[in-house]
Amino acid sequence: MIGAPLDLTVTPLVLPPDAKVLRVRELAPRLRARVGEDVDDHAVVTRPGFRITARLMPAPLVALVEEFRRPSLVTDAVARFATAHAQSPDDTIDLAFDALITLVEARILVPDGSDDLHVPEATLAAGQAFAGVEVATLVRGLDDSEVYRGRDDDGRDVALKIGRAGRPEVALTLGREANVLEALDGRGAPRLRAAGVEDGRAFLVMDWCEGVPVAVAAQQARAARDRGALHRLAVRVAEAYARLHDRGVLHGDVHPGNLLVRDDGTVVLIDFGNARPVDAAPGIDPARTGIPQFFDPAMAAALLAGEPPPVATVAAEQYAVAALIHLLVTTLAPIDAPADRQALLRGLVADPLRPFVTRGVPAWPSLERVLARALEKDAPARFATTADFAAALAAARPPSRRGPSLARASSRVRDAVSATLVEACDPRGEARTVAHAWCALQAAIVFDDPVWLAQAEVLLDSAPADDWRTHAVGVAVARARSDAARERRAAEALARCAGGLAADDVAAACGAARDLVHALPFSSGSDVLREWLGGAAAPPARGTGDQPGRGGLARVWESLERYRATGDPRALISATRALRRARPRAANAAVAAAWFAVQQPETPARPPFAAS
Amino acid sequence: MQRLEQLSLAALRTTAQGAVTDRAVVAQRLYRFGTMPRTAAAERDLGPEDDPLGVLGLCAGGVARRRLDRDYVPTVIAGWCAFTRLPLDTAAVTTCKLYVSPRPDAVGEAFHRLVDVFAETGVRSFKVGRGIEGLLRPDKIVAYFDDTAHLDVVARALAARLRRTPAQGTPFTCPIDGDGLLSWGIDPPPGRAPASWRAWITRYLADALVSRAHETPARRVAGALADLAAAGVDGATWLPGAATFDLEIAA
Repeated sequence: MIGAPLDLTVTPLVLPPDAKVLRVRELAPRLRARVGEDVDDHAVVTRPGFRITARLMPAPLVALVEEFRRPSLVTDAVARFATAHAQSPDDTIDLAFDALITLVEARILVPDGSDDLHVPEATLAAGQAFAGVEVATLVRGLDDSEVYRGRDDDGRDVALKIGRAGRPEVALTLGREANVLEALDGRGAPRLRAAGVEDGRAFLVMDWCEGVPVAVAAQQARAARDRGALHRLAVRVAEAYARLHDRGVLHGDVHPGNLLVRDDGTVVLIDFGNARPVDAAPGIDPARTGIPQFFDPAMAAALLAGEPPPVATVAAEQYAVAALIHLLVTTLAPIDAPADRQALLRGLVADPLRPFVTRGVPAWPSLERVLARALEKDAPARFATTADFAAALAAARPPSRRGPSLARASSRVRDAVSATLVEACDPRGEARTVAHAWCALQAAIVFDDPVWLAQAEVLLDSAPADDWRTHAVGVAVARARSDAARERRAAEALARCAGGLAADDVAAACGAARDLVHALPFSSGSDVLREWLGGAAAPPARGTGDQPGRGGLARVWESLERYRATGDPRALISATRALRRARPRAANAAVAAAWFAVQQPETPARPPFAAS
Repeated sequence: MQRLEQLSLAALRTTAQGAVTDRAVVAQRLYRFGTMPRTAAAERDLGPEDDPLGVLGLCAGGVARRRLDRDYVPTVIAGWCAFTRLPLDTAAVTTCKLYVSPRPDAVGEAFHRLVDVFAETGVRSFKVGRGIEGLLRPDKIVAYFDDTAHLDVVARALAARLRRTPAQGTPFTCPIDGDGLLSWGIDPPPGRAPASWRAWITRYLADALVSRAHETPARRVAGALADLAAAGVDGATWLPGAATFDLEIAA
C-alpha cells in the first residue's frame, strides 16, 4: 500500500539490499514442491520481515528487476535491459509495466531513500515499559506492526501489538481489532486488556494465548495416523468460526497462521485486523484482502476481472474455512495452488474439487462430501450457515481403519503373495531377482516393516548390475531408507543403463523414471531422472508393467489407474476382483505386486517388471 | 527369546544373505537395521526438513518445548536435537545410555511424557533424531547417564508412563522391557573408535561377516556369533564384557 501517489517518471526505484532473489532450483524441497515442476527457470523474490507474499517471476522479469539493484528510473532500467537483451524498449515496457507496478505495490521495488528501503527493526527492548506492559520478547516484527510478549501490571502474560510510527493505516486496523475483541470478550479469542495510542503509536494489549499453530496440531494428528484426532480438530475449527459468525463477526483473514490450539484442544482465533460485520450491505469492499488460496470463487472472479473485491459474506468465509480444513487434513489446498497468482485465481473460479485419493491421500468419503458442499463454486449451494457446516462436519467421522492384511485377500492371492515373500527370503539365492526386491519393498511399505526393507536392499545385491530395472528398484529402496547419496547413484545408473536400450525398453524405463519422479518430485534421485527424461527420446509412458488390453493383471492396473484418476470406489472394487481372477495365469511376483498396489492404492507404484 | 534379541539376530541373518563385501556398507546395514521405511505417507504426515519438530511439540508454543525451556538448553547437531540440563555439569562422565524407541506414529505422544520424566528425574542430557529420518531410525531418542542406578530409576519411571506405547526396538542393545521400547548400552571408553556402542558392535559384526564372505549365510551368522562370544559380548543382552573394548577393529 502506497501512502501518496508515486510519480514513476521522476522517482528512482531500487531493489532493497535485503530483497532475496532465489532461483526455483535453489529453494528448499518443501517450497519447490509448492511452486511446481515446470518453473525451474523462474525465481522467487521476497523480503524478510515484510508483509508481502513471495513473488514468482519468469527469468526475463528477474533480469529486469535486477537492473534496480542500483537506483534507477523505470525508463532507464528498461533501456539498459533492452540494450543488453537486444529488445525494443517500448515492447519491454509494455510487457513489464503491470508486473513492475505490482512489485512497487508489494514494496519489493521501493522509492530510493524511502523508509521502505530498510529492514524493519525491533523498536522496543526487553525490560522496556510500553502501555503498562513490561516487554519480554519480540514475537513477530513486520514492516507495519510488531507483536511482543510481555507482562502487564497485574502480572498477567500478555501480547502487545503495536503499529509502527508513520503507519496511520495500522491504527485503523488495530482500532477495528480492538472493537471486535471487546465484543467477543475472550470467547474464542484473546481477551482485550487495553487499547489506545502511546507515543503516537496505536496499540492493543491482549491475554497471551499459549498454544501451537493449528497446522502443527494437524501435523501431530496426521503423524499419529489418528484421523479421529484430525476429525475433532476440523470440527473445532469449524465451530470456532460458526460461533464467531453467530456473534455477527466475520474474521476476514482465514489462514492457518490465525488459529492457535491450546493444550486442551481449544481453538482460539487471533488477528482480527480484517474483521467485518456479517450483515454488511452487498457491494464492494476495496480493502478486503487475505491469502489467495483461501479466496472464495466470487472474490477470485472479481480480482481476475480487475474489479474490486465483493463484500465478505458468511458463505465466502465458509468457503475459506473449508479450504483451511482441507489443507489441515490433507496438507493440500483444495485447488492445486500454482505460484502464479492469476493461474491460482482461475483455478479457484473454474477447477473442480478432486477426490483425496486422486491426490495421493487416503479416501475419507463422508468428510469429502461435506467439504465439497462447503467448497461449492456457487455460494447458495453451500451450507446455509457455518453452524450447519460444522454440524455436518461433526457427523463425518473417519472410516474405520482397515489395515492391510494378508487374510483379507482371497486365498489364492494370499498364497501367491506369501510364496513370493518366502522366495524372496530364500538364502540359496535361486529366486533372487529384482521382482522379489520390489515385492519386499512393497511389503515393507504396506506393513510398515523395517525387516522387509532391509531384505529388499539385500536382494538387490544379486540383481544384475547392467539392468535398468535393478537401479529403478534401487532408487525406490534407497529412498525408503532415507539414503540420498545411494538414491542419486542408483538414479544415475538407471539413466546410464537405459541409454543404450531398444525403443520399447527405453519407453519402459522412462515410465519407471516418471513414476519415481512423480512419487517424490524433489529428491536428489528425481533431479537426476528428470534431467535424463528431458533428453530421452522415448515417448511418454507411465507405468512399466504389463500393457493395457493384455488381460489378467492388466485389468488390475487399468482399474487402479482409473481409481487414482477419479477416486471412484467401483474402480477399486474392479481391481480387487480382477486380481482374484488373474491368479492362475500369472507369476507369483506379479500377483504379489498387484496385491500390494491394491492394498496401497494412493501410492502409484507399478513394478518395473512384466506383470501379465 | 526377547524381541530385541530376535531383532538383533534378524539383522545379522538378513545382512549375512547379502553379497556385499565392503565392510563399511555391511556395518551400515547392520547399524540401520530396524529403520522404518520412508514412505509417501510419512513424507506427507511428518513433513520435510525440521517440520517433524512440531510432531514432538518442540515448535514455538509446543508442550515439550515449554517444559524443556525451563530446565534444558537445546543444541542442534548433525542429525540430532540435543538437550543439556542447566546448570551444565562439565565434570560429568557418561558411563551408560538409555535408548527409547517408540514407533514413529507414537513418538509425538511418547515424547511429551518422556520430557516430563526426564525433567522430573534429572536426566543430564539426551538427544532426539532430527527430520523424518531421525524419527524413523530405531535409536531415535538417547539419554546419557553417569551411573546405571540413575538409568534404572529413569527407565522404571518411563516404563510406567509409556506403558501402552508401541515399540520399534533398537537392535544390538540390552532390553529393559519385553517389547524393546526401552533398552540400554555402554559406549567404548573415551578415545576408542568407533565412539558409540552400536557403531562399535556393528563394525565388529561387519568384520566377522565379511571375513567369511564365501561361506553360506548360516555359517557366516554362526561365525559372527562365535566371534562375539570370544570378545565377551553376551549374545542375549548385547552387553560388552570386561575386555571387549580392548579388541582392535579394522578402520
